[in-house]
Amino acid sequence: MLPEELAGRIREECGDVLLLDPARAWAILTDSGRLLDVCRNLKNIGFIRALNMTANHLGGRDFHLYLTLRHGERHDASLTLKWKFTLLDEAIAGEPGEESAPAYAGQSVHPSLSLIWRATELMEREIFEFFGIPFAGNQNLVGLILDPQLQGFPLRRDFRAASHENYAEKLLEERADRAVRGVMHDPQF
Amino acid sequence: MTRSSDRRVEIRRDPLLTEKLIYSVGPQHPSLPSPLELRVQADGELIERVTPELGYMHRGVEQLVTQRNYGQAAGLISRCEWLAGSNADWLVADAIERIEGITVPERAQWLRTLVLELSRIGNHLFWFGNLGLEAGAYTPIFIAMREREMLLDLLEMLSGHRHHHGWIVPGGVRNAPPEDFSGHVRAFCLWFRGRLDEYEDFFSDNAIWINRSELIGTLEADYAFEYGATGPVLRASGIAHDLRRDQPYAMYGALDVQVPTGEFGDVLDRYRVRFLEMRESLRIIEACLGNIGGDTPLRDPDVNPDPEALTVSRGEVYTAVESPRGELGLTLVSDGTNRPSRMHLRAPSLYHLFLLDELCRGYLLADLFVIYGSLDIMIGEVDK
Repeated sequence: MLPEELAGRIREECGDVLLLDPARAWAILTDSGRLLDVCRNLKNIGFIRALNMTANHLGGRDFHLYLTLRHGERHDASLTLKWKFTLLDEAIAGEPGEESAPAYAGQSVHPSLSLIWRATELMEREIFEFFGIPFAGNQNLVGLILDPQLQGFPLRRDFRAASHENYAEKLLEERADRAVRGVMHDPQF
Repeated sequence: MTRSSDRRVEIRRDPLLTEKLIYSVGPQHPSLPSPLELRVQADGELIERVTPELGYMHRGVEQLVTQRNYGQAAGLISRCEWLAGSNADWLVADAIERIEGITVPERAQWLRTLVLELSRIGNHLFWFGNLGLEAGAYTPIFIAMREREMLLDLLEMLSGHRHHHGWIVPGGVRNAPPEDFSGHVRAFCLWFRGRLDEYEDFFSDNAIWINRSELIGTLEADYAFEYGATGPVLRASGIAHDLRRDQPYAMYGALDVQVPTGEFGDVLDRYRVRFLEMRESLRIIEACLGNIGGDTPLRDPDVNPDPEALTVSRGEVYTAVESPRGELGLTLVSDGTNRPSRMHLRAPSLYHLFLLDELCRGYLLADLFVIYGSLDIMIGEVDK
């Protein structure tokens, strides 16, 4: 829900780039290039809490991203912002789980929102891991959940689990190997 | 800016030069109800850093739901939140209802509210029993499970299932409650209110428990806000935010929900907030009982009752429920077929788990699991 007075302020601050639907507490960003400006404006208006951020793969290199915000004082006020992102050229993204944030090719990165809302750091990590969208500026862009050995991004439409047909077998072999070696002290831990 | 947890570490650091140790706790550990690895860096007994390692329970739910119909998808989402699965059922049903513009009959809304609150108590009882174990007390788990069994019997009577009820469906609820259901629920409320007093007597005021929990694992309100805390964890830090009151759904708008808050955001406050919530849930349940009778419809007749044939128009929605752990949210993208195009679950436990580092820094290793227990983490919803 989005109270009318807040909707009015959002129209004032970001009206030229947002299609706002207060009844659904929903807004579509028409110019993705203005994302950071719009986000800063929304935070200034009082949307200081980022609750959720996720993506949807549309096919090819196109994605929709969704960010749900809540007002800091008006707890009844929420807003979900949607925008489109196109991965211009495939990022030189290291596989999820790498120790350090990998380097990405120029324009193919999405700006990180974690400097505006700290909570989005975790959300971006999740999106990076499942969709392969790199976020420039996220200081800790490593996978959260998936096995580091898994190749590809499971929530992309073109992901095929069949390409990992030997995955379970390899995993079992590795576990058996570990069992033979027993518990070892790992100085790199 | 120095964080308060960093200051805490500096103040409490032993001046003796002790070797820093890294402990790997889990993924299988008696204090962890579900698989998770915590990498703990400690200076002597002082915790300096805690890093959660996830993924031991990952089942690919968000990928699987896109290959299932909406009925099956609701079942899978419910399995991410196995202690209060009705919340997940409600989320899926509500998301579909919002996209399709379905109006749920009022009696069904009262019944949904009732079940959500029964689930809340069931979850908090499990948490209470587990927290006792984390603190080295064995009695809570036995008595909490005693009451929880009674509660699961009620839910089984209603839905036929003890855990994943699948009773809240798009357009209403699956079936009417049995004739004597209200009487059983009323009797449970009467019994359980007395048991809550008993818990308070032997545990809440226990000096050992207070020593273990007071001013331990403190979370400042600003930090909680910034890092996505919701639910009892946020409220214990003094912020009165509860979706049931602030963005009412089901019949909560008619119930004047009271939102208890804490003062210091420590383990004790999180404990007390959940206890007050159980009392509030009892009050809500009793208020619902007066409205669930009659023979009015329990489901919108226009909604296809066959989950396999249920199609959802093209649309996008974010909906959220105040689950026992905080804001459980669902983003649904539908494409006009009988399968979701995209479903994403916002898991409150994910954000609370990553608060653990801030909460534990500067406390002793012995405090780690008391703090962890106070957060009520559900790994199923984190790993998905």
